[in-house]
Order: sequence, then structure tokens, then C-alpha cells
Amino acid sequence: MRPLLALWKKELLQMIRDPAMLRVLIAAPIIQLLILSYAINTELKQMRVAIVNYDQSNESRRFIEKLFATDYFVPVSIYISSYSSAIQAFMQSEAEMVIILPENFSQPQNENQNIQIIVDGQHSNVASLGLGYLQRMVAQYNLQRIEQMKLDGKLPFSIYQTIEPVVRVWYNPNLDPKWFFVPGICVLLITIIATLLSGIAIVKEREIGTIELLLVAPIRRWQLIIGKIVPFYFLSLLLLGLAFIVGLLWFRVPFIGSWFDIWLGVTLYLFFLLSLGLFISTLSKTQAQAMFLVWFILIFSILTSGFFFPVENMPKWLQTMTIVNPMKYMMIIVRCVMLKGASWIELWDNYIMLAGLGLITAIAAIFRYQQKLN
Amino acid sequence: MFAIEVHELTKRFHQFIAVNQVTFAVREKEIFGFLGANGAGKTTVIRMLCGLLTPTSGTAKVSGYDIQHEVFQVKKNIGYMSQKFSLYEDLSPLQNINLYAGLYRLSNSIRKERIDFISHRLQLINTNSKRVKDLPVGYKQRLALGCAILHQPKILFLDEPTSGVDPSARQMFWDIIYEEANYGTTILVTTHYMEEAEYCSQVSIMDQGKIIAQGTPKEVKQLVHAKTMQDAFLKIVEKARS
Repeated sequence: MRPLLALWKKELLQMIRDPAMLRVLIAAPIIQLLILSYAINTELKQMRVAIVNYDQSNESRRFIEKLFATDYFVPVSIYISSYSSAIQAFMQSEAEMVIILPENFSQPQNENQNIQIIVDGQHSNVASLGLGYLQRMVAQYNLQRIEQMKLDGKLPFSIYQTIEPVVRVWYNPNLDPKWFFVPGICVLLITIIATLLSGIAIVKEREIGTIELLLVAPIRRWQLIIGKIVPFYFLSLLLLGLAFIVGLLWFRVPFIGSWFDIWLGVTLYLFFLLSLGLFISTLSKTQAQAMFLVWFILIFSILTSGFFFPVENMPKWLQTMTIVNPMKYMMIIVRCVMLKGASWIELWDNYIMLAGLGLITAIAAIFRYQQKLN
Repeated sequence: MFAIEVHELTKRFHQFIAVNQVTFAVREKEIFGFLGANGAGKTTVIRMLCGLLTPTSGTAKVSGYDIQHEVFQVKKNIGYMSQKFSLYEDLSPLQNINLYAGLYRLSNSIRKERIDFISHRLQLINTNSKRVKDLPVGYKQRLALGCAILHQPKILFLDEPTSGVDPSARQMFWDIIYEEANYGTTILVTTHYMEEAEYCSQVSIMDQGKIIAQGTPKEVKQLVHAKTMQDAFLKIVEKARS
């Protein structure tokens, strides 16, 4: 035990002795959480629209008012008189959408007198969201018009006899994307920190030569590994705690489940990450090499983890590959525990996968480690 | 009784033979000097004896323990000062010493006693507020020596301990090495300063992975009728290579 205590004390002293590094480690999760949460925004707000109104009736003005009463669209300029000036605004990226209301907007005579829409498809996500909102609005407007016609005695039935769904959203009633991304970013943070720390840990000692001191001392291999990993485990846990505090207090993301379930998942996940780091350490000769490997693996696992896109939407072959991505399971655990209040009993298969992948990686790392030193 | 027994020890790195069937023995409490140019294979021999490298063939015993099958026991009984400075530069001298004390399982009372002794003997006092990287080279070498002898090893391996140390400090180094030998420590030291070989009770000259001469400094000099060790070394190497 004495050698282990000495190693832990040394790691702790090295962390404290490097205040710049310490500041980065503590500030990084908070800053990243703040910036990333605002940057990754999938909801549509204030799409810039140029409207050319050839109709100029009360009817068309009511339609425009209705359009801009929402937060989804803002007018580029109220007085766009011609098609060409609207297109110009569109080409100069001032407008993201152009809506042209034909002369007979209120009293359409034939199919060619429909409302025309041009949308900037560069940002396909924004474009399809914008179109979706617009279509819903047009549909609503149509219903109101039909109702009006009925009241005027032009139609025999009431449209309110049709089915209208009553929608209730669970787990995120306001569909706030931050509720989705904040837990994900927390997972992202410890992934990066833990893999990097343990990835360069042994390589760094080898590069500066201090590994000799440890290898020649009468300590067992496992003591050396535990001596490295345990301080990183607690540091990662501490940083994750900080990220959670920011997520809960600043972004007001709810925390419905139990801390124990999060802790259990995080511990299994860190077991995997730290083993992965050690494995990378045995593959690299320099810190730069280790960093490169870490990034290569991280980018792949982030993209297939369900952090941005649901895994279920990926092609079948890619979905099969994500079976070996522990980040996927961690994403599920953190999100479900935080937002749904799920417990490890419902999520047991995710915990098992994390433990299994961690074990395999640890065995591989120890195997490589022994090979490397001989 | 031999502290170190080496029998036909060989280390091959791919095609390159770094150490070629080296055989020698070091008696207890002896100061055994390993001489040779850079790249002669001295460091490789020491690294094998410390358990840092596995030999390709041959056997060796350190303090009675086999270096391949009883590495852990070997490590318990040795102190090692590597050629390349290997202390933590971002920690203070005392923090480094404490790490050593922990790794070698010294009890608190012995630790305090040894730290006192070493700091006085090696003049390491009053620098504990500084980090190792801010200290002069000579000081770092003294600290490294202090760490290597902290746990009072039976056998001490010193790989080029005096390189980069000024002459007066070098004298202090050898004084300490003598003292340690007097306490009963066996010392295996490598150097390429030939005049330092005179301090050793036995020397062994290595060249291109082989031991080409062995004996007391006097015997080695007589072998080629040389007056100084420097002279003897050059003649022996020249003869071996021709």
C-alpha cells in the first residue's frame, strides 16, 4: 500500500504543481458546456424572410401578420415591391426564404395562382424546419378560410368535425434542445479528459525518462497502473460533477433519476476510457502520437454515439458497428437517468455492455503493456 | 561471495548485438568500474542487471537472485542512478525523495533519518521550495545519487554518475561512493573518465559489446605497459579492434 500512496501523492502533487493545467482542466468543462450548448442548436428561430405581396388585400396582409407573429420568421424588409429585389436579397444571403403572394391570393382563380416559396437549401436542416413551420401555418390558414366560407353559407359542413390531434411531449415538454445536448456534452467532456489524461500518462513518463525510476523500483505492474489510474478517475469524476452543476443550475436541465445510477455508469465508463488510454499509451512512442490516436478514436465514437443524430436513423451496417461504441451506452444512461428518471434496472443491458467493453479493453491494455516492456 | 555474477550475457536488438557474451563477477563490497566509449554496451549491461531489459541469452544473478525469474527480489536489493536524469522536474527535491521513500517502503522513522543524512551529506539543504528543473546540473546529479542510495541498497548501479559534474563536485561524488562501499554496499559504476578508474578496486573494459580486459587498475595497466589508465585504455582498445 505504501508504494501506491506514494504514487497517488506524486500524481496529486504534479496536478497541483501545474496551476495552468489545473485551470484548463477546471475551466474547460464549464466553458465548453456553455459554448457548445448554445452553439449546437437544432431548433429554428427567426428565419429571415422576404415577402413580395402582389395581392395587397386585407386577406393577404392578415396572412403576413400571422406569419410574423411567431418567433420562427422575421421579415427582411416590409416593403419589398418586386420579385427581382426579393431575389437579390435572397442571393446576398440577407433572406433565407422568399414568399411570393400572387395577385389573386384571396380569390384564387386557377392552380397557377398559388403562393410561391423559395428557400435556401444550403442549411438543409434549417430549410426543412422552416418549410415545416410554414406548411403548418398555411394549413391552419386554409382551415380558417374554409370555416369562414362555411359561416358565409358556402359550405355544408364544419371542418371542426375533422380529427385534430392533441399532442403532449414527454421528458422535454418544451422541446428544448439543451435538455438533449447538455447530458451529451457532459459525456463528451469526461470522454475527452479521461482518454487524453491516461493516453499520454505513460508516454509522457517515457518521453521525459521518469519511467525508469518507476520501472526499477520494487513495485508490481498492477501497482504502477493503479497508481496512475485512480487519481485520473477521481479527477474525471470531479470535473464531471462541475459540468453537472453548470448543466443543472445554468441550463436548468432537470435531474429526475438517482445519482447512484449516474455514478455507476460513469465508473464503468471511466474504467473503459482509462483502459483505452493505457492501450493507446502502449501503441505510441510520443505524446503527439498518442494525442493523434486519441482524436482519431474520439471523433469516430462521437459521431456514432447518438450525440448529434439518433443511432436508429443510421444505416443498418453502421448501427451494427455502434455495438462496440461504449459512448453510445453512456449517452443512453445519462440521458435516460437525467430526463426520464430511469434506473439501472431498466437500463441494465447498457451497463453490462459498458462493463464488458471495459473489461476487454483492460485485458488488451495489460497484454500490450506486458509485451511492450519485454 | 559474489554480489553480481554474470554468465555469457547477450543482448541483441534486431541485427545489432549490443552486448556479446559478457562474463564477469563482482565481489561483495567492491567498487567495480565499467569502462568504455559511448555505445560500448555498458548501459545495456546495467539495464539488464536492473531488470529494465530482458537478455537475449545468458544468465545473471544479482544479490543471489536471477535477473529473469526473480526480478522483483532483484529490484528490492538494488539502487540505480540512470545516465539520463530521471527524477520529476516539476516536483521539489523533497517531494522526489519522498516518492522514493514510498516506492521502497521505508517506514516513517527510517525515512526521516535517511533524508536528514542524505541532505547533509550531499548538501541538499535549503532548496525544497524550488522545483528540480530550476536547480543547477551538479545539484540534480547529487539529488539523483541521494535518491539511489536512500533505501540503503545492497548493490548500487551508477551509470555515468559524474558526467556533467564539475571536477570539485566529482571528488565529492567519489567520496560518497567510497563511504557507501565502506558501509557494505557493492557498487558497479560506469564511466568514460579514465582517471576515475583509479578509484575502483576492479575494472572491466568494454568495447563493441565485449569485455576486452579485466582486473585491478594496476593489472590492466601492466597488461599493455601503460603509465596511465587513459593510455592503457587506448592501447587495449586498439589491440582488440585490430
